[in-house]
Amino acid sequence: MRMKELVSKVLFVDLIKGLSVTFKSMVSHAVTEQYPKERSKIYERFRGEPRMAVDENGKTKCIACNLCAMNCPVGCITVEAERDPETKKRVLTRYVFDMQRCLFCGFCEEICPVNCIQLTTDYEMSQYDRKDFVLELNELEKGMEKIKYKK
Amino acid sequence: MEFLLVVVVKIVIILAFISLGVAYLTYLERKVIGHMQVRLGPMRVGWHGLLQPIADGLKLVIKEDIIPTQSDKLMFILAPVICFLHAFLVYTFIPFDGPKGFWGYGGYISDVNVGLLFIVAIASVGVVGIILGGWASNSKYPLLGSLRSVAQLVSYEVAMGLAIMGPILLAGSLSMVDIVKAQEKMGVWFFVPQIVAFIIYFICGVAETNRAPFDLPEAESELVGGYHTEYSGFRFALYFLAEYANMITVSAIAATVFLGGWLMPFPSILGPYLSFIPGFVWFALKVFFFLFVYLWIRATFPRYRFDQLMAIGWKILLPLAIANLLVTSFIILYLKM
Amino acid sequence: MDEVKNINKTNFAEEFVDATEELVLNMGPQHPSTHGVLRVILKLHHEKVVDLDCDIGYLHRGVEKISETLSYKLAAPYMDRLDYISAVSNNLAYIETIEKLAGVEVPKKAQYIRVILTELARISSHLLWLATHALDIGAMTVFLYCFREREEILNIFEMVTGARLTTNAFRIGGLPQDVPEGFEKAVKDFCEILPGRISEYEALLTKNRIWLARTKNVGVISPEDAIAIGLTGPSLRGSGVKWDLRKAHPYESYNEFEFDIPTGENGDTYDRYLVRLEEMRQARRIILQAIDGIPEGDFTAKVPKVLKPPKGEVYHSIEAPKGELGFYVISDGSTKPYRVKIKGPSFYNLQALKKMCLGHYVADVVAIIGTLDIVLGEIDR
Ligand code: SF4
Ligand code: SF4
Repeated sequence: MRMKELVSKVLFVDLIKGLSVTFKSMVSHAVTEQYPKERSKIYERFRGEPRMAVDENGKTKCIACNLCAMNCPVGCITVEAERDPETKKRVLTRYVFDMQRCLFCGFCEEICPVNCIQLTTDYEMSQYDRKDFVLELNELEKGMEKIKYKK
Repeated sequence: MEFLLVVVVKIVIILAFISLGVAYLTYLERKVIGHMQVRLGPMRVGWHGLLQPIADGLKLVIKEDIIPTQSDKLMFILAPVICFLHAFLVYTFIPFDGPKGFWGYGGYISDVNVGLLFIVAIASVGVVGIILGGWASNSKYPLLGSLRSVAQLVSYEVAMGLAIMGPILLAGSLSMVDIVKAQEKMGVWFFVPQIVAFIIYFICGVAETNRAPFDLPEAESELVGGYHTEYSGFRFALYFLAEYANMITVSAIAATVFLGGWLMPFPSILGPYLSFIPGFVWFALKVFFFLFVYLWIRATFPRYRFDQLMAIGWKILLPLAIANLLVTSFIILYLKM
Repeated sequence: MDEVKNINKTNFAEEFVDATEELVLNMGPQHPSTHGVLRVILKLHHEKVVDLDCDIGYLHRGVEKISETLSYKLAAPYMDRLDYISAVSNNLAYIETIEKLAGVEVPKKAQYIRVILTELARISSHLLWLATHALDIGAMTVFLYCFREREEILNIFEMVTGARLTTNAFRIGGLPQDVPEGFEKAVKDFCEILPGRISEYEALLTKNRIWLARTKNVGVISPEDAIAIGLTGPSLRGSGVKWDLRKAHPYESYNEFEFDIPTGENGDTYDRYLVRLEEMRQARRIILQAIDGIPEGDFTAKVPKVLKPPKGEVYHSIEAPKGELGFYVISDGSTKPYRVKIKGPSFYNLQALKKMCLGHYVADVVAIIGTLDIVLGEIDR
């Protein structure tokens, strides 16, 4: 047994085994993706950039129930509403979403009774300026303006 | 007058060629290791990233030059230059092609009768640059790195020197050209009769150039960057180039001394078909082979610890090299008698 | 310290150069191999460590305090960020503690899926450990190979929970939603490729002489010391102590699965390496059993919208990839916890660093930090 070990050590058997693994990988295909050119498959449940849904008339679906703001661990949603004197319903006046603080936990999306706030599969959310991360309702409806990597 | 012109032209060609080779060696390294790691390596600059080394070089040149305030300024500036200079100086004595090569002008800048000795000597002066760099940075990590480097180079130099004594004995000359000619005459390249010396030389060569698995002086996971931690920009590039030039040197010596330099393999079989290929192509192929093994090893193996590295150098390689030297000389003596 | 001096004295050569000064070396907080922002202050004699001190807290975010200000449900995403390498396990530990506190019974189906996801997290955590550990010792290809497999796991997480790293995978009472279509296939496909990939790492490392030289007899810790310091997880099992909460106090129907607890013999870095590799294989075994046996039923129990657990306190711990992860929660009967205390394995494992490092070389410190498998997010919380 000792002899065998010695022979395999002198003949570099252990090292050659490792070398063969790397060589095999060298002639196999790469598994990386060339990011800006190829984009990976994003699963439907991915929690990315927030969006607010609109109804057929282009009006927001939000009923200003404030559940999302209450269910947010970091408090990054601000809902401001007024009571409509005629219909006695609450009407949304301002909706602010601060993406800098968001954990992308998905609680807001889960709790919303009308499926208005949603976390979409968009994942390219970089901006040059901090204030571009604070989204107002209109930005949330059409998606934030993006800086695209060119080339 | 013509002699001088030829030499100058040769120097320019070889210098340009080596500089380009060094630049593209970094590219090769990134590509080969990338593919071994199931990724692609550089892809964005030029076709398949072919212009990457040039972009990198440009970036390093135009980067801000930082000299730490606490450093020894003169030494700090001088150190990378020393390292770089000696790495490139050795190419004077390396025969890229036979005496009839380069269209009759001789495939080397000069053939000195102590060529090999000279190369080994100059190559080890480079270490001064490393020590100075580490010391002049006046910082702990570079200091540790450079101290390791000195210890490593000194101990491996010995085994390496003894290893190449074997082929020298066989050839009976220190001149690089004569060593190749001796291999031609013998009909077999020296790595066959001198297989032990060949392996020892290669291991020492890897250690000499601070490459994995002996890259302790610059082990990034322990010493961050080793002796060049404080260097940036162009000075860093000089160190970097020197390291890669040293890799090529070691490979070139290995190719010359053990693999028959510019000679063609199996001349009796391939001779009639491939004789149109000039010698320096064969030489380049052999060097390329060694460089590939270098990269391959780097991609595969973990790194030794410092005391283990010393133990291997002094306790295994050195006795083996001495034994090899003794056996070789006895056999030569016996054959002569 | 004295111990170390004695080691030095036995060496004849070093006695003569003992006049040299000791070098104080700051390793970190910005250092490539301290796995985050750990600062280790080393006192070196030549290159040998004679004293060592850890400085932690660079990543302190006050998670415990934050969770006191939030309702039970809302604190869950914060727990993902403790040991961000296996977010699912953290989440499980927290959610289970709250369930225990509130007396919620989780349906079997949810339990099985939780087991699958946490075992996947265990594999992914061990893969990342192997990747960084090997990289610290210089084998950089293993790093990328491990990431290749981890990517598959992250894809499964993304598919099921919607995020790759900070998954927020479970809710009090079960799961947020049922697993999507294709989940079973994805998990099975991954289990299919895993053994081949592990043998690839083994070919690169297990028998490699350099790897052996770097890990054998490095960072040895005896079973007694390991228990005294409070090591848990693979670091403890590497010393030969057969202690695994999945077997000792089974939670989430772990008692229904068959698996072994690998242990080491010498308690050195190499043994811990083997233990973790074997744990990956065992985790795969559990996943395969669970995925075939997912029962029918609900994915969540009925839990009131506003959870008000009764007054009381509870401690619950699980076997996270890095060791025992426990939560101690006190409820005062309101919607928010009165106190949340986290017992993270990395913090306890880090305590062994000094014991393991003394008398070793600087290079070994790096290997030992790697073998302890610490995550600073959990130590500093
Ligand atoms: S995803 Fe979570 S953190 Fe972000 S806004 Fe919604 S609830 Fe708040
Ligand atoms: S939960 Fe939905 S409907 Fe309610 S305020 Fe938020 S976005 Fe509007």
